Amino acid sequence: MSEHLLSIVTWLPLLGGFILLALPYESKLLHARFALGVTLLTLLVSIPLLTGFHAAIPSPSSASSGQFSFIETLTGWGIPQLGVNYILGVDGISLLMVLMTTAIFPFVVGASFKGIKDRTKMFFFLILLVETAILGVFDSLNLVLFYIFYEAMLIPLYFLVGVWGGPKRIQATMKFFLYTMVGSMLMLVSILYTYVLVHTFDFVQVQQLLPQAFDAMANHTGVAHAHLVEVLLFLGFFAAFAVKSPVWPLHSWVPDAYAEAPTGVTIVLVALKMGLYGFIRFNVSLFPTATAELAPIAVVLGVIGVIYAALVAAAQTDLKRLAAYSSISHIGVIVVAIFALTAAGWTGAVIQMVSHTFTMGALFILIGYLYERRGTYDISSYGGVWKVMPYFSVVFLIATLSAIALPGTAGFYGEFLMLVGSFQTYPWAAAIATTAAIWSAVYMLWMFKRVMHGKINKPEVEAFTDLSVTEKWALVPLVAIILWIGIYPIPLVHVLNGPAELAASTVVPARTVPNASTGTVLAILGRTFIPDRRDSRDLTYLPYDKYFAFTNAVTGSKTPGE
Amino acid sequence: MVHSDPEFAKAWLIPALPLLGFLFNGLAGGLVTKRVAGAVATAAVFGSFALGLMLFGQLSGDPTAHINTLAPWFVVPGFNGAAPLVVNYEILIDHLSLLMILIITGVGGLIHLYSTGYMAADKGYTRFFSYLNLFIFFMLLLVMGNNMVLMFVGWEGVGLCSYLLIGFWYEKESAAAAALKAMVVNRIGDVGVLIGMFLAFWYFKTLDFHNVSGTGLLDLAANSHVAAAITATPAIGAAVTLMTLAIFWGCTGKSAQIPLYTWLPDAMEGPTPVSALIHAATMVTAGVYLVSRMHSLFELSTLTMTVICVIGMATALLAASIGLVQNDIKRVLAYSTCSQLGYMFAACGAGAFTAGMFHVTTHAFFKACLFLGSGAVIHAMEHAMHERHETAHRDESDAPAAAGGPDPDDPQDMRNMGGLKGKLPLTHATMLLSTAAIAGIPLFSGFFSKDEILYQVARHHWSLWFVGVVTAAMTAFYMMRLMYKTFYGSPKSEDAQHTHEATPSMTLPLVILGFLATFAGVLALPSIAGFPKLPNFFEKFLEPAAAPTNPGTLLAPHEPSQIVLLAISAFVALGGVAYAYYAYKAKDGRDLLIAPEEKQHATVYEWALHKWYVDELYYNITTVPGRWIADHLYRVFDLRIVDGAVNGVGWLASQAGALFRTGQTGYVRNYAFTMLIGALIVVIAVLAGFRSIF
Repeated sequence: MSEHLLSIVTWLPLLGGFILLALPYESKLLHARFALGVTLLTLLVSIPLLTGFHAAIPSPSSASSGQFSFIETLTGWGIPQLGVNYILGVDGISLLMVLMTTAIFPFVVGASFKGIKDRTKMFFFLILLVETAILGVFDSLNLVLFYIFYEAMLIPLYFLVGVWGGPKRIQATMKFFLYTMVGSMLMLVSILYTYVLVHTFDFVQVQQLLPQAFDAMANHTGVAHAHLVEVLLFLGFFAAFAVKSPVWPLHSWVPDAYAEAPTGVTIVLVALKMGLYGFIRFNVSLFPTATAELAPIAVVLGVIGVIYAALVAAAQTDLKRLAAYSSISHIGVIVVAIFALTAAGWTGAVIQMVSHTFTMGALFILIGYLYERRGTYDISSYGGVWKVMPYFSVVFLIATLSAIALPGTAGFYGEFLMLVGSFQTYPWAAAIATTAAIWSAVYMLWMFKRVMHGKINKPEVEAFTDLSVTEKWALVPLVAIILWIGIYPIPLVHVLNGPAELAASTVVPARTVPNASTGTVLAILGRTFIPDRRDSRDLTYLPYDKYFAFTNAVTGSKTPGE
Repeated sequence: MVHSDPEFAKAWLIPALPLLGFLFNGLAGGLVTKRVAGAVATAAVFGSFALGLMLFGQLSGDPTAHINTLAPWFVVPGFNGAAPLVVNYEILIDHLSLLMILIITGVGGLIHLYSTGYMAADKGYTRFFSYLNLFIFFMLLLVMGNNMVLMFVGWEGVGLCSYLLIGFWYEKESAAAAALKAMVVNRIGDVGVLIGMFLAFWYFKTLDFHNVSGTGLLDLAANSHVAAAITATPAIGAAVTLMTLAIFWGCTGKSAQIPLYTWLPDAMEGPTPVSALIHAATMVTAGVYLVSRMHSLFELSTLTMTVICVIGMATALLAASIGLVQNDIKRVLAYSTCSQLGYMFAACGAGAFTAGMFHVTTHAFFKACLFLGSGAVIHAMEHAMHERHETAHRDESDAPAAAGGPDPDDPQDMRNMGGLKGKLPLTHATMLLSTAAIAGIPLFSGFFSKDEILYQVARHHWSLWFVGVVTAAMTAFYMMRLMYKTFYGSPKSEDAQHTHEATPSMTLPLVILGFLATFAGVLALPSIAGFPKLPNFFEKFLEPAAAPTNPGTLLAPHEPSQIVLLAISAFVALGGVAYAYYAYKAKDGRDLLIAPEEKQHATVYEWALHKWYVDELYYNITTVPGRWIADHLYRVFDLRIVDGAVNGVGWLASQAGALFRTGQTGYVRNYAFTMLIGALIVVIAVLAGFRSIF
């Protein structure tokens, strides 16, 4: 059972989808309920991944699985001659991505109960199909398998937006599809050429063999050539992930797709964190030298995205587009944190990927509730909603506060770690990104004021009813997750960085100030202070040295006192 | 030194009680009566006060700081030369946090009690008390947190509660706008605190204030070797200056100092108990607390200390000048708060953190009393207006809007008041005592706290002292003006004649605060050279936490004659009050410069009345261009250029498709020919050596 856990989690939604297809066409509520059951079951089945993660940590010496656990291979499947195999596995980062996906999908289905009225069977089948594809992207450890899942995700999304979307859905779908396709074509080229270099698609082997391949190439055809190849391969992956994330200026599909998609599908789009995940999994850990060289550019793009999207968000008159731009702005901070290459930044980035999904997911669900009552996303059509929908407004406030990173909510935890980490390698970029605290307060609370505060001067709003009991209870878990990540996400951080007590106990004794000379104090203030390396057992949680392999020499000199 | 002490685990109950009160009223508040909701909220805060007193008993005479750790919060291993990041849920109990705990829960409890009367008729009664409890919780976290992050949770949390409570009457457009403004301006400041934190972590590798191994931020800053390192290494010295300036930038937001003070007067849109609790007694003093808490770090930068001192004095003067002419009773008090906070910062900048904290304490008493008193006045006016509306069946639109004159339906406009002394005797008496205190009348609490500050700044530069004395004169004047226009002379409206004193739940806190405002001065009697040494309990109490650690790095002090300074201040305070009293008496409480023909020549008056047009200036240099940029970025850049480029590519692709479609003839011979050409190109490419790429 447990050795097939990842496969079960990954394929369960699709299996449920096939059963769904066999249900009678007319019973629409049954389709939704069945799909909800399947996603809840998937969530339930995925929980042992978290609880069993520490027991399943492989010993550092087992080279075959790298830093991954729950490794699962299916012999006799794939094309062994080409190194195409079926292999699944997770490390701390992908584990959290998997759990985030299984946890958000019940909300995706739940948010579609009312809104989707026709062709429900097909809709929920596609939703379940897309869940399998997303899970596959996060847990596959073979580049071909990864690519198949990555592309497979696109097809159901194409139909989900194109069939059930808003009035401008065709335009939005085309843009989304073309953007993503161009990106993933470039990634395919990079994947194929990586195979040419190392003769395998197995991720762990690729990670191990690629440095040797570049060395060999450098010896054979010169350092410049090897370097060029690495940079080009990096850019191939980067293009695909930058579109998906999105990174400025490749974001323009996002507002259209978010705005036109039905609420449930918008949440799926929010939960598509594979772009950011891909930066970590492929760009940084496969091409460290190129990363070290190109990271400043990525950081600059991230910072531009933060400010740009925040300003543009302030100019929006449409609730969904405002939330979409706000999302782009938050993604910018994550991009900065990933390419700033610090442990704190990465921990923050992964936590923020999770919390961003739930925060924005909650916001889109709430905006969907407003839409159900008023039939428009136009901000000026609302006003004074607090008076008629007090419960709704409190939840909306909590989601808004998480979106503006108020301490105690999910948004703060990740954002703080990302910024404090990034500040150590890119102080100016991090300082500029920190001003997002101002911009987000401006556009989110201004929106909140226009929608929630003031007198009701529209009879339609006067007629609003507060949330039904079902709607209320549906929001409780989201609020709980937002507060839990904000207040005590140690179990999640634990998955990334090892047990808290261990991490803390290994670091404190190293930091005693002897009553010695000024030089000693300088040493503490300055660069020369380097904490004890943690024991190798910890490093199997999130092995930063595996990710940041060659970057020390290039980025290592940016610390004060030198 | 610092001890980790499991015995102090019970101190967690101090913030926990208001949190429980918040949860009770937030979750179950709709199910119980108003009486229960108010009682639970008030009891929670007084419970914390009792615990605070218990700690006080335990800690008196014990100069040690105690920390207690509950759980880890941020744990990230160090890697690649970066320091590990460990932030715990950890509280710090020392005399400074204890003082703040007592002020917050003591004054806070009284204001809760007052609110049970003040808000009795409000629909949002339970919502109000849940916010109020949440505020107390965050404020306690702010002063008890042993690291900058936990402090920041409280810092932003009180900002949130301030936002919620300013916008409590959210149906009022002006209240919603003021709430938004407060939040945004505070956020502008908070970015400074965040960047200060990043710098602190970067240089000191920790965000703890203190820890047992003596490597907390403040432990390091108090280490004499660090001071030496800073003088030896300009880069580190500059970083410490930047760090402290960034944190102080945050303080200017939270504590309403130049340039981020503009939100505070607008914050008066909130219910009056909120103004007393958040915007006078506690939250706005958080900046002073933070500077005092981190004083050993601030002392390392002479530049920062000078900036704090100058900004503080400048704010004191500017805000007092605006307060001289405002007509809204709460706005006068709001500007007065800005001004008094300026004094506190000036004291901190001069290195007299104890003096700053003492003014925090006395100000909490007299300003809370003044605000609550003004609340009683407004409450009484409102009731009278309400009754008039009931009998006369007049609605608001009938009100004659006299150009420039007061709105007859505005219960906060002092031009509608006058002669309330007889109607509200208890309110009048307590407010008069507090006015004496804030004006600095000898022997009242404010006299001691303010004059200690004036003495301390005089030790650094006479010009700072001079500004302080001018401000003191203005303070005495505008407070007496407020008193006269409200309580003396003839009633200026019919409503003012039909007012009644408030209920005991409202007057009891007034009496207690009035008593404290009068006598709190005995806690810190000045010791003047040449006179017998008087006991200064306060300084002794705060010494372990707030006495300067690196006095050598401060501005070089000199010793002015304290007795002369005291005499001048006393004269100025008495003179200001007396002048205001007789000047307003002569005009029966009408403003000195109110006649239109006089107004034309009164540009200065106009400018002060319009708050020196700072709001307009900020609006024009931030909001207006900000909107323009956002709009153009969206409509021009995003839609036309970024999206246009994509659409352009799409258009190109479809054009190319149309072109290539002509090749799709359907004839096999054409396809075969194309294939042949393609194959040839591949062969030639391979032969020509393109192989090396692969």
